[in-house]
Amino acid sequence: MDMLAWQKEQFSRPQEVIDIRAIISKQAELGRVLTEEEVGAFIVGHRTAKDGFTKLFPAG
Amino acid sequence: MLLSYAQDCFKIRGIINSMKYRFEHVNITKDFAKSLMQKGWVFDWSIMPNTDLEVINLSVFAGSVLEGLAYYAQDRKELYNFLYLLEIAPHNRGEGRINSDVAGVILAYVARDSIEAGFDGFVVFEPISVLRELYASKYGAKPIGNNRMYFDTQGAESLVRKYLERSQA
Repeated sequence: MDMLAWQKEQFSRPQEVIDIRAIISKQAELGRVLTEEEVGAFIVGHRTAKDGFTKLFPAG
Repeated sequence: MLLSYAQDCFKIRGIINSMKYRFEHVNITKDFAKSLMQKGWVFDWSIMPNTDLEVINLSVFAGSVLEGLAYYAQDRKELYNFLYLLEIAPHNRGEGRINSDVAGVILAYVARDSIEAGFDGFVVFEPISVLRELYASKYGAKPIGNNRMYFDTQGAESLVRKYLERSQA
């Protein structure tokens, strides 16, 4: 694995801010690790996009 | 002078197997980053993460020897420390490594910083895929689900207990 390329890719994109506590709570509720799409619902800025969130988590 | 040292004098030191570590915040110049890579360091420490947060460089020394580096930031809105990058010195890698606990010491420092910042010890990071299992098994990191992992309060306290010790320095 090209570690330097990985670093450059990581550092070139803005770091998404996530609601870690909400993710943990949801993981505990579901009893599993969330999918990438589900985690996306907890990215700050996305989490107020209710269409996506309620589609993934209809019960809230 | 390649490194310009911050004025902080840390009172926290890591003590593992009689090895004493000290922590400093340094500004890494392009020349110094280049010299590190010439010595076998993998990452380019002159490149900064793309973020509005204030990125903190953490350098770990044993004596005068640089043992590891990290970039992290305190996210005061979401209440966690985000660890952008961590690298241990080339002499601490592989079978002939000298110190095997430097990554743990760095993680513990960042976790302790999260506790002291009022973030309950939460640390979030996105490790290289090949190291995810190691972070889980050796350090107790938990997966979030999109390549990221985290330490919660329990994990942070465990790291601090294992890798850090207060001193009166």
